[in-house]
Amino acid sequence: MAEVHIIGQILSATGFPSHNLFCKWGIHAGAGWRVIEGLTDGQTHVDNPSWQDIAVWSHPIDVHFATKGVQGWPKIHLQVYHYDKFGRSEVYGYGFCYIPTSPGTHKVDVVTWRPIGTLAEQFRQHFLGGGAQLKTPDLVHNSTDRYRLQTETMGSVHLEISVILRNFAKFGVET
Amino acid sequence: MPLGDEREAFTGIYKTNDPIQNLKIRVHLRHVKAAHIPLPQFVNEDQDRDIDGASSASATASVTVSGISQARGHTSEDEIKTFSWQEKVFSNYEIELYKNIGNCHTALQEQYHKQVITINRQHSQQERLFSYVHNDNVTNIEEFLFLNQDENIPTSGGEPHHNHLVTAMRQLQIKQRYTPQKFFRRDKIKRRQPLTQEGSGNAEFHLQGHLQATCQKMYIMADLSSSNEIGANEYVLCVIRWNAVSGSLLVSPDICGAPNSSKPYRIEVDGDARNVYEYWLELVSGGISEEEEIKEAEVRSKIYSHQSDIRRAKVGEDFTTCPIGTLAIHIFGQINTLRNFDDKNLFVHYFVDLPKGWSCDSTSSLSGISASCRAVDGCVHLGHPLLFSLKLNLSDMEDSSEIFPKWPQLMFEVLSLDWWGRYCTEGYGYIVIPSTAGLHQTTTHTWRPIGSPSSELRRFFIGGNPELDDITFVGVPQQHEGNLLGKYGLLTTTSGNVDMVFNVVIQSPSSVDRASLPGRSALLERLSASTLVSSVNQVLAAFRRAHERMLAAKEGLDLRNESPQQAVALSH
Repeated sequence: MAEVHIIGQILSATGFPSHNLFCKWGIHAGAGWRVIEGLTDGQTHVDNPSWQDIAVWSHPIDVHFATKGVQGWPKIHLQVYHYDKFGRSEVYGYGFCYIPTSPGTHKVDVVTWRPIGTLAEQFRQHFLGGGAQLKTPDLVHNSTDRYRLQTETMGSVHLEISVILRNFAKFGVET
Repeated sequence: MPLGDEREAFTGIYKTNDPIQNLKIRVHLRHVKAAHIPLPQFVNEDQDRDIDGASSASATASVTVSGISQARGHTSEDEIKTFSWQEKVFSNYEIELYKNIGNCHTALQEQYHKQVITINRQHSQQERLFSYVHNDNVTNIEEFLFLNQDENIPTSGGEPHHNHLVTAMRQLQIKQRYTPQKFFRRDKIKRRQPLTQEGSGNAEFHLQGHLQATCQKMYIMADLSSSNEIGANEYVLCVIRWNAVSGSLLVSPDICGAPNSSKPYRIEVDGDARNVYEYWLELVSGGISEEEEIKEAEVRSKIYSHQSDIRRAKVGEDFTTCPIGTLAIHIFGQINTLRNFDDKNLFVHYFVDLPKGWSCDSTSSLSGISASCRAVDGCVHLGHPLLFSLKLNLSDMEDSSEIFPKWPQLMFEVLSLDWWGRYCTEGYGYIVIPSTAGLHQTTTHTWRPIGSPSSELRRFFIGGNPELDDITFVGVPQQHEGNLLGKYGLLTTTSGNVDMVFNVVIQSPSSVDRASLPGRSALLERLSASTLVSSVNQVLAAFRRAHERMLAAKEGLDLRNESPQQAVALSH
């Protein structure tokens, strides 16, 4: 079996409409993959920068996978939430990216979007907050059924991911 | 300080995993000879006080004078003693104290009493060096890890801003002038009880925080008083702190080395420049023996192999390899952003065009439609996953005359969705899927066909756009034959850009020897290796067929006479 170490950080987020952001993250892998060590999901703190447009999280990621095959390469999916002054959390963005397959350190920008509802829902969202959410967050990293979704562009999340691979060359895998 | 060759006092901080019991510190204590002592510059007051205070036993000045007289008479010889961790060495005062059973109240003191009696029988020679161990609970010795607030300020002028870090670091790296604190006994019996809480803002407190309680201490002391005033002038030579939890050892002042190779620390008894002692702290902890070293290495390798066994059991061994004669290409990617398109609400329709010899595990994933997304500042975030597991059959390639196989293309069109649910094409583009393994970030520029001016007007006001009949026209059209690809006659205009990310993983049946592959992916070599393997397989298969045919022919022979069959079988 081959092994993959994923070590990195969820560095920051830019381009979101307001401050007070936090991020839920998770790493999904296919059926042939097994987590040997490390946490595959988590949540960052709420960052409230005083004036910058950048929310800094620097949240650590450290997972060790073992795999039976290349199929189902792990992907990280992110949900950015806004924590408002009344203590409510509303979804500000969904995003995902594949973990880079080549070994080394990679700077990855994950683009995010959020679903939009009907006109009445958008009207309510503007004044009261809240908004549409995905019923099944799996849709973020699933290519089927995507065409039914109406979304709007949100900010992007910046990751720094280091990948260490082991034994892939032995099985004829070039990464 | 009168003499220049003095050592500055730092606190040495050491990290160790070894048992602290192995720690040994050798102390050389030397009384500086009278010839080396500079002339005293203060005369009157001290002499007056000497005369006045000669009768009163408690005055420190008198102690000094008597100490000097005693020291001058004494031949200045080095006193060398090796202290191991928490080794109790009794001072003369303590010997006197514990000799009397009436002074002993606790179990520890009674134990000391027994020890003192045996020591007393062995030798009664006067020795200055002694130690306080952790159990002594000597808490009212002032730590000399203090701050000199007015020194070591890096900036000139003004009151510098002292933040917590500066203070803490300065307490750690005490670059202070080392002034040994004199230890006064106020009450000779009560001293033995714990009086105060330790760790009120010294370096150790900052360093270890709440782990303070787990810290063990040992003091190496010197009784520099005269013979008739035992225990009056006790000086701390060295404080050793050991924190078993963090494995940190603090030695203050730090270990300096042997007397002939390093500068000494200096003590002036009662601040008197004429009565000076020098001392050296030397680390003499013995190294481990060869046998132990081998044993330790054995244990270590055993632990390591055990851990790697556990890991191997967790990880397992099996791995799905791709069948011989094929090359598997896995593509993990995203369509990330669409930029600079005219319309606001956009989505992408894409498909992969597989040339001859390629196949895919699940055909459904080869085409798709993304979610529609509203642009902000001309930028659309799609984040649409692209997941293709493709296979290249190398046996098909052998028939064709091409050296390098045709690579699959990703063709796409960007469409806009308007308020009434109508969509029209905003751009066409295609990209050849990267043929080298690794991470690829690509930007594709797109175009769209334009018709007559009236259709442009219609597009602006009503919507709708000329479209391509055959979308493969964006690349090399399917019907195309011949040497020249001409697209003349099609009027187009540029539209926006599409950013994509591809992670490409190539898997071949033979293992990759990275050292033999210079530079980046040498796909051609891999291909030739794979075709070589397959051609070897073909030869083997042909051999097997011939062999079977031969056997069948032999069986025909067997029916006629049996004896040659045995000979053939033997020779075979």
